[in-house]
Amino acid sequence: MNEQNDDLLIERALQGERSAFGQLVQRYQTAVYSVAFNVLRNAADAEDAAQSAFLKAYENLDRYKPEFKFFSWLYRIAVNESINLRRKKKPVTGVEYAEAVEEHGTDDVIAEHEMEDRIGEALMELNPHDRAIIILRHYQDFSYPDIAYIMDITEKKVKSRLFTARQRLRQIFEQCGISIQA
Amino acid sequence: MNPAILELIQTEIDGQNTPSESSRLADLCRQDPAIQRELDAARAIGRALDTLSDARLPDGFTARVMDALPDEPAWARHRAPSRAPSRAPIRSSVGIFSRPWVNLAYGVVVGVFVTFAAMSTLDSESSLTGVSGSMGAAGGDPVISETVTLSPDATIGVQAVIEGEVLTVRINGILPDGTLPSIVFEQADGSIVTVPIHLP
Repeated sequence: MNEQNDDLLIERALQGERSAFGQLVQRYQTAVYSVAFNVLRNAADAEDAAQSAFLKAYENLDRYKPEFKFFSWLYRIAVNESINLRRKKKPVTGVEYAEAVEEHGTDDVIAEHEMEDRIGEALMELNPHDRAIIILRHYQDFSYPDIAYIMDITEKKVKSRLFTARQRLRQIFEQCGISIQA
Repeated sequence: MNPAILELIQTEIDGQNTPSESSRLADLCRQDPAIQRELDAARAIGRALDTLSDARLPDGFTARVMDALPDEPAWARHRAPSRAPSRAPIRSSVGIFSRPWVNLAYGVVVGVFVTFAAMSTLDSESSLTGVSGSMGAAGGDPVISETVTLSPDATIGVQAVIEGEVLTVRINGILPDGTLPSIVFEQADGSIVTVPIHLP
């Protein structure tokens, strides 16, 4: 249903109806922003990345190929924007991030859930690509083929990166004393 | 642990295993408690990661995105007034059009234009309207019929019908306001490409 509606909205947007693109923004903005936030763990950066993703999607709307799901295409742009922004910034470790949140207390988004905070901190120890793959798999429940398309890698690579990232997270959880009940 | 078993465990927690693969893993777990422990640990990590939730969208995000959108994106500038492109426009460089006949047509059109531009240069008052003809290409495949109009504002229109497909070409010469000459190709599917012309 959504796919059909997306295609219709894209067609209308390409005919010059900006409000049609606005509906697409409204439909996917939370998901796009959340992915950016989980990759960047910074509200301002996440907003920049999410906004940039929508702008690039609009500017390249005529290049969207309907054989792919629109939101997969949009996520591909959003993940790239987030990783690129991450590269431009000084690396922030999980510990530094946690200290910053404690000091400034501005990040009420993640302060609500302690466990999520700690997992977020652990995720920051991963490189941005592995972090993005974990987020796509667990936050959005994307399949291996979807992740492969979004990250522009093979499915085999998705599997191996997921495995490596989870093993690394397991080590981090153990080192940080995060108890994960089996 | 055997990498194949580790992969089986991972695909199990990702819900990507077939029923027979899941059944095989269950058998392996029964046979080896270490495999069962590995599966349990992997499931626990998966469950922990599943707690990732939506971040709260900043207030006014939609409005800021909409305000930042360009008034006229690139695809709108190249779009036909009545039709939206159904796919990406062909690239505006000689020799990279996806279909050979488009390249051929491009070459023919540039040749026609340069000829008439030269005539126009020699006699700025010249006006040639309604020249038409046809030409066959080497190999006999595409047949191009053309209608050429050269008016004082130096605009030439060429329409090629090749293998049942219509290629409409408009050539904008040097306009009184100084706009540089260009060729505009419009294919039957609505895709448009504008190619600037640099006269010798």
